[in-house]
Amino acid sequence: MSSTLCCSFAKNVTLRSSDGQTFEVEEAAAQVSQTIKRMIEDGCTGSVIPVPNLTGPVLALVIEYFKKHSPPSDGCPTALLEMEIKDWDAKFVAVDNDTLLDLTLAAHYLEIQGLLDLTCHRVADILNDNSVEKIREIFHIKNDFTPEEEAEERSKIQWAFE
Amino acid sequence: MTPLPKDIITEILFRLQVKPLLRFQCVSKPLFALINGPYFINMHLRRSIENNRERTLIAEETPYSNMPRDFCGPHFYALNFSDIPNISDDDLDWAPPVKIFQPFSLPTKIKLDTAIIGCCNGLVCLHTSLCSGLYRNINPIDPSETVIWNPLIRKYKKLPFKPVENSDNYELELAFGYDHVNDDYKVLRILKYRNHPQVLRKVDHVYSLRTHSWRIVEDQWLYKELGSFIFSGPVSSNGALHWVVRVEGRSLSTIVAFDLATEKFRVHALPCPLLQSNNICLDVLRGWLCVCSDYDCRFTRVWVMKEYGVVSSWTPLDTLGETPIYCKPLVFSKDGKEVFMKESFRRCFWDDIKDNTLSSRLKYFKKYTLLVGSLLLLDGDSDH
Repeated sequence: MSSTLCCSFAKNVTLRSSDGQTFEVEEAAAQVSQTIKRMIEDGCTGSVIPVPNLTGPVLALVIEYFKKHSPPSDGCPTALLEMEIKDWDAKFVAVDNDTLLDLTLAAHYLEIQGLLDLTCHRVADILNDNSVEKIREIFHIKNDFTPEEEAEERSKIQWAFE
Repeated sequence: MTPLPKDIITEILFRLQVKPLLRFQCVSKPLFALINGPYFINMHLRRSIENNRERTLIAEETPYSNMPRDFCGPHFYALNFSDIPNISDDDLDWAPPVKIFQPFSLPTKIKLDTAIIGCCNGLVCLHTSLCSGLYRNINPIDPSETVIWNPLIRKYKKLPFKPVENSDNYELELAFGYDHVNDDYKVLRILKYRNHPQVLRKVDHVYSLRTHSWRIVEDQWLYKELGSFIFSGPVSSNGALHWVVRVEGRSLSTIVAFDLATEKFRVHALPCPLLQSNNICLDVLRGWLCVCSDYDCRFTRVWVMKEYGVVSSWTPLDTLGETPIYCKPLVFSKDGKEVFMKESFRRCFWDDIKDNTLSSRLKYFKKYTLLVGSLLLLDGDSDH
């Protein structure tokens, strides 16, 4: 903690996506990710930090999130700022389903708890109103029930489909 | 694209209400197994409790509201608080009460009493019997039934029949609670002896949902020395069942608790202003044991025990202000800052005493119990 405090002004790190794109970002912002934070603490900052699970476009989005959620330089966030971030978050996850799932995975790999909560919540909201068929499509899940088995399971909870 | 790992799918499903989860059992076999697993069911319940999710009042219809003569037991209605985030409950209309079916398979011509024995973690324990009060003068054709029921997923489990011998001298009472030490839901059967002027109660048998069987409990008397008058209870909280009782021979009241894991009784002191009161209502608000009284005949006061078992942690709910007498807290608002109150037979309001659409909807019901979204009993029997 003390080492980052004494030299925290605008120190940058470079992140490289799976498809070779590189992004420069403030070290303090990148530490929103626990995974990157550990890498920095372990002394990987001298070179480029590889992020092999994320493609360039997804990493670019995640970096936007880093920037918005990096700890404010002047101490505690105000209530107004918190509200603004909440609004920003809502817009940030108003994306197509595949991008949303990519962001969810990214939050998981990079251990960004705030983003994971945000994306999981958004996915859950989408699931709430969708059919079983649509869930399979969104999640890319193969239906391994036989038609008879599925019909039987459905008939047991017919009311839940009404 | 890469399929989501199981951890993330689980993390997403934890956030869903019970009805969509029931549907999603049909997505695939692995998802069916996940949703039906005890880990998922327990974690989902924990989230429901933490987030005050799917709060539903189960209301019992009052017997005097337009009821047919051969009416079979009361009907139950569910009233849902909306779970929409970022909107205060006060701005929302409640969904109209939805009639739900009670899980009894009894002939409709018999006039029956149905009572809510207790409620915890989304489960309701119901008892139905021929006569008023709990089953008295038991005979072999007694149609009384006890069930543990999850109204939100329409599943139930009927308790095995346990005959009582020589029932002339006592009545039976039931109590329902959660034993968190053994992760088990239990029903106590208590024998009530009338030995004038005293009334004595002894724990007779305990039913465990885990083993689906009754077991005898030896020599556990409910306050043999403490007294015989129960003001309120039983209420399940922190692995024990609680009653407010009057101490025999002294003008003092206290809380008696039966620990469901150790199967022993213990005593918890009431908040100081209530020590001599005989008008105390016991409840659970957001996991806290809570007592409610209009002891000074001016306002309703509510205390919550913020640290279970610690008498100094009784905390008055100051936000209530000058709440009229005959009121009872029902539920916290989504953000936990307000308490929804019910004034007996009249109206309901948030604790800022602003009138709410619910007022008129609730007044035809007696007896409420509060549920959270829970998948417990997913392996139970289905409603008829």
